[in-house]
Amino acid sequence: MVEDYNNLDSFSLYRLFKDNNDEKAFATIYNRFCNGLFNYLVRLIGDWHYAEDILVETFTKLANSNLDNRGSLKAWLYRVATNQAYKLLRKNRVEISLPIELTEHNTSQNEQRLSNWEVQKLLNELPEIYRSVIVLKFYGEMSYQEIADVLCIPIGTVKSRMHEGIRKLRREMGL
Amino acid sequence: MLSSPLKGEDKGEGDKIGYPSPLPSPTGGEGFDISEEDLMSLQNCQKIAECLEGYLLGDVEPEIEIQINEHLLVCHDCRKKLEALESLVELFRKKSIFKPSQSVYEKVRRQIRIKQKSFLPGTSGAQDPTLTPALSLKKGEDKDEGSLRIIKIPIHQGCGRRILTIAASFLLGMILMRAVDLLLFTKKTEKPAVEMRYETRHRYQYSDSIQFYSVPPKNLARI
Repeated sequence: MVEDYNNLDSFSLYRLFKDNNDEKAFATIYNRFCNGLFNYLVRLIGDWHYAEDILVETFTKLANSNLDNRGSLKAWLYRVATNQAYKLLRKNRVEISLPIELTEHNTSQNEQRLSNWEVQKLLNELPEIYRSVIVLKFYGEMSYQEIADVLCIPIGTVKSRMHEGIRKLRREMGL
Repeated sequence: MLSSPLKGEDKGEGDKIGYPSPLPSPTGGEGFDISEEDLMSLQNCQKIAECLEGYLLGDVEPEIEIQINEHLLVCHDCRKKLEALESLVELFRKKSIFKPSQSVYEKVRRQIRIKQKSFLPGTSGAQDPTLTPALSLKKGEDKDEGSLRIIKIPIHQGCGRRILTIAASFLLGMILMRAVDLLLFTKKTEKPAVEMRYETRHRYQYSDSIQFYSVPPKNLARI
């Protein structure tokens, strides 16, 4: 049964959950998007506690909303999460706090931890509009069209923000 | 797409900036035997540098990409810039996967159950006719780009809000009326004190009640 669920597209799963109150369908949606969304939120905010809170809020909103099949569920989830993150960043001054114990290490632990922290510091110094585009591109592995859908901006704006963001990073790093 | 970086070339001091270290010329000559065309392209290091992000991300038109490739063959500085940019991008591409803790899904489930309890019992949100769209839609959520983004709230919550609004407006009305009343009252008392004294005396001496039903104390002796 679970294998069948994995073959279904996200919106069919969502309808299964809404119409039949099928919890397994909701769990499948959660498992499909939670890692990517959490990764994106951690990089956007820089604090994994806040990222978890927003993740909970986003999926709760999904469960309580009534969506139709126009657009993609993924874009909707990322958009809601981004709005929540922006709201949080406007209200609070967020210090960098990364889930070190949750990180999957490829290299030695100290090396990875340092570089993660440095990368996050660089990202946090960027204005939000550039940060969200860069994080969606590199960590969310989205195309420009998908980023444009998530942020509700034209594709040209996505590209210009991307280039400007990288330029700013270069300047910060003195490259 | 980006415009060609090699258009509108300026013949300034920049022509020496990107001059290569002893590299074989792409034109086939030895050492610094570079054609005039290549020399022209070397003047555009600045413009090439501006396009390097797009080049690295694959966002430039094919002909510009060819021009940049040709330029990179001869320009040592631009190659260095590109390498630095590549290292920066690789830094972000490095896979560091953060995973949410197991308790997050439990929290989501709990939240959903709490929200569902606040809804009318025995109805699903999709077909429930007693649900009304919430007024507090957030910015960006109601934009069309994807799916419908209406959060439904039960009618009894709306009723409570309405009752609160009515009560608040009633209270406000009462306060306003009291304020007007006080204002009028203070206007009455703002008459000069002398006049008041005169009126009091006058009323005492010549008021009907005293004149007809009582005798002033000074006349008591006479009576």
